[in-house]
Amino acid sequence: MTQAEVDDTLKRILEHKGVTGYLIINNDGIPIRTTLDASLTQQYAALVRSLTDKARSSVREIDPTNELVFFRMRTRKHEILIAPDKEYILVVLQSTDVQ
Amino acid sequence: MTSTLRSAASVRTGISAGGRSGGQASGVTRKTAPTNRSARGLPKLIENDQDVTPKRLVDPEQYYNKVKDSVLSNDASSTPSETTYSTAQPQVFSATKSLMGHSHGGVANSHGTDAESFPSDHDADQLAQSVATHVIEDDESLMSMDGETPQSLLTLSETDTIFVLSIDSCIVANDATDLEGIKKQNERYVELCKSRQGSDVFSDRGMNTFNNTVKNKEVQCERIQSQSREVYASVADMYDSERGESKIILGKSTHDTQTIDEPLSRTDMTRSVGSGVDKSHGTRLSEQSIDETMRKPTIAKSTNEQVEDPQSFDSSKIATSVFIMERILNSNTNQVKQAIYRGLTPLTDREEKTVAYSGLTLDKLFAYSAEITNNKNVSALSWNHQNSDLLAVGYGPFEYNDQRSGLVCCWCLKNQDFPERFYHTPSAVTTVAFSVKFPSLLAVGLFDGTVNVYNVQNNIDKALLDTEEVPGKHTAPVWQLYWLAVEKSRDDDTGEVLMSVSTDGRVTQWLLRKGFESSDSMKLKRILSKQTIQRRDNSKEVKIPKSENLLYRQSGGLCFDVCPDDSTIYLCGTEEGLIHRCSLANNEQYLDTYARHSGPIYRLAWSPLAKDVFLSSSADWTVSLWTTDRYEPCITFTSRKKPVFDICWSPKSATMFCCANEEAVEVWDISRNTLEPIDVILTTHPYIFTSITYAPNSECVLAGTNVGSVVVYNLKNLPAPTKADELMEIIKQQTHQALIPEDPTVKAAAAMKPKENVPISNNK
Repeated sequence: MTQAEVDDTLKRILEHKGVTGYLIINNDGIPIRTTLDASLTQQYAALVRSLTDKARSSVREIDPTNELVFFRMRTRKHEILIAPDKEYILVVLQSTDVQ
Repeated sequence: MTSTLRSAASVRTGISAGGRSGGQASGVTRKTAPTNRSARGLPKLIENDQDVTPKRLVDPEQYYNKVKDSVLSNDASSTPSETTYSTAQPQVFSATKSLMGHSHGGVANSHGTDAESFPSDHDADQLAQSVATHVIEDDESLMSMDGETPQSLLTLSETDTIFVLSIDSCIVANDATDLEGIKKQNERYVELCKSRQGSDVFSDRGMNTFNNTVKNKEVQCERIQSQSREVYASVADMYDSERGESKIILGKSTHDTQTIDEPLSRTDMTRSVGSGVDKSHGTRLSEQSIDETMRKPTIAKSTNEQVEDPQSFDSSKIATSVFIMERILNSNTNQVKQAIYRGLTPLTDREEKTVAYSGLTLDKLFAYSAEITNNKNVSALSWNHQNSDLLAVGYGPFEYNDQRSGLVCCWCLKNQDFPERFYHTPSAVTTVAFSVKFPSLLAVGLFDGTVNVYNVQNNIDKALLDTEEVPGKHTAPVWQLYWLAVEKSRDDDTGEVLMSVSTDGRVTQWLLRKGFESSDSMKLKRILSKQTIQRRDNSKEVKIPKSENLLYRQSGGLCFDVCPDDSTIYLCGTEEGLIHRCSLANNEQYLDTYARHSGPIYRLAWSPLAKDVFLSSSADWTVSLWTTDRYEPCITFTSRKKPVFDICWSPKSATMFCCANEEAVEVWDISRNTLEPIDVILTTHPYIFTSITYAPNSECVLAGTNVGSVVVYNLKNLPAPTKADELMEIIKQQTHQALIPEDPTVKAAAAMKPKENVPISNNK
């Protein structure tokens, strides 16, 4: 996908039903792009980074040929969808009330 | 004791003591040398113009005095080991001493009896000789030093081991000749040893070694710093390093992290999900947690530097994540509908509405529609043969006068808000077809007569192949495409040809070699309406004579379908309402012609389950069911006063099909009711249905509209699928009842109630 297509898709994700916002973090835990407010971004960036690492290494401990593609945490109020990549992590927040 | 003193004194003072051995005489003369030489100075060792004379640890003068004192006080004096000390002066001293000892031994000997078993004579000579050699050496060195400049080389070397006394025992056999003598000697020796104590003949003498002075030397070096590091290697790390793809991350306590990369091999780029190697995070884990806690307070600071990132951040790096995310979001919101599509029982919290639907119902699930497809007429639907969730939709108006550029989209169940692929075409799309043999090839027929082939593995707008410049391309809109498996005529053939029908009256086969190569299978000739009038005049059923007229005109073909049982037979529908059954072998003449419809035939469909049965839909508001052996339709279905654009047989049930009217989607089940469809969805919005198809892997019907959305309807409460023989049964019943020739009301307006359907009651 080219950059333009990816940006289009991100825009569509943002317009999807229930989506509160998204966040892209790099490997050092620094947010690259975000549509959330600053404080929330900080919190998510720091916490999601270590969680992703833990999840990823857990998967690989069990079977080194496997790798983590996606995981989500469904809470009462939101659902946090995390797609880790080689260099970046994409985090999307979706509200669970809208269904 | 006194004798020793005397001899020592004599040696010391006079240096002219009369010695026993000859060597002593030479030693005497030499004694003058040291006194002379001590006045002259020490020899120097010069090497490379530098004075590298080894410094003495001990001053010889002091040494001499010390020796003198020790001798006078009857202390132990030097040992023969002094002979090894190889500077000039002490050598002389040692020689002196050894001579002293020797002479003493010799003196003692003279007192004793001869033939003493004191075989030291031999050794004494040896000793004298060795001493002499040493002395001679010294002499030479001394002499050479007398007249020379101090530039000579002194070689310092170790002497051989000098045995002062070595008495070896020898073993004699019991039967030796002089055994008695040896035994006597042994006995004598033993007695001598016993009488040794307290005898005047022997005196004790001690020896002492000089301890060399010790010099201390100190060395200081810089303190060696040590640091401990630990790393945790997880199973994943070990696996990675085995494959040579590990990334070793050295994290320091500061924020700098230094990564050493080894070249990665991204071999599987084709996989869109999870391609590439996962970074080994195990090595970071032990430090990461520490680093994180240390980093927290500084994160606020580092985001200020984020400004430079958006410019360098390339979105395409997270393409896969974004792609997955969109699909997951979709499944989140549409999980229920997707479950129904798949035939799974959906998870719903609320109870089902208990409406007593006894019969089949159509339930709208969702619609494939996006912004780019807005207000575009759906003209064609085609399923992919490998991935039955993938649907290709062609957008283009049917009318001649409304030409815009067309669009082809590939939709997938997993994302109903945006197509997976979309291709823009220069003119309106009229038909699409996925290849059977190469499931990624999509053939698209356009309004201007060109046929494009796209590869759906990528999203490039440019067609893989097109018939723009091929001679033999269609000059009028291509209305239907079909991929047909044929035998390979050449080895490099793909085994598949593309058949197309167009308004220019040709049914053409296209071979895809390097480009398109066409060969016409059939030219549709127009049969003048005179024949049809003739036929109607006859009261009996006669076969239509295949007569040829003087004037030929091509008649435009609108649709065709290849027989599933025999792939060389196909049906072709024309603009005039005639259906021709043709063979690929014969491209001049039709096998059969079926004339009944009074308007152009929009769609033909062979029944997938029953043999030799097909449906035709036409603009004359009717759908007709035919068998190949009869020239009259067995059953005709009408329900609305609108042209029927599309029909589709149910793949599972032999008697069910659905059709798309202009204003409704209708599901018909012949086994229940041939007059009315068993379920109808009316369009409530100002749009019309233009195409319809069954989903191959789901109990759903997809209908395309003219505003650009493809609506998915779920068939609920489906009756048990019927078999082909049931269909044949019904047909037989119908045809038996149709012996009465029908009233020839060809005008569709009057054909509301076809006459052959009068007796219905015995249908189940």
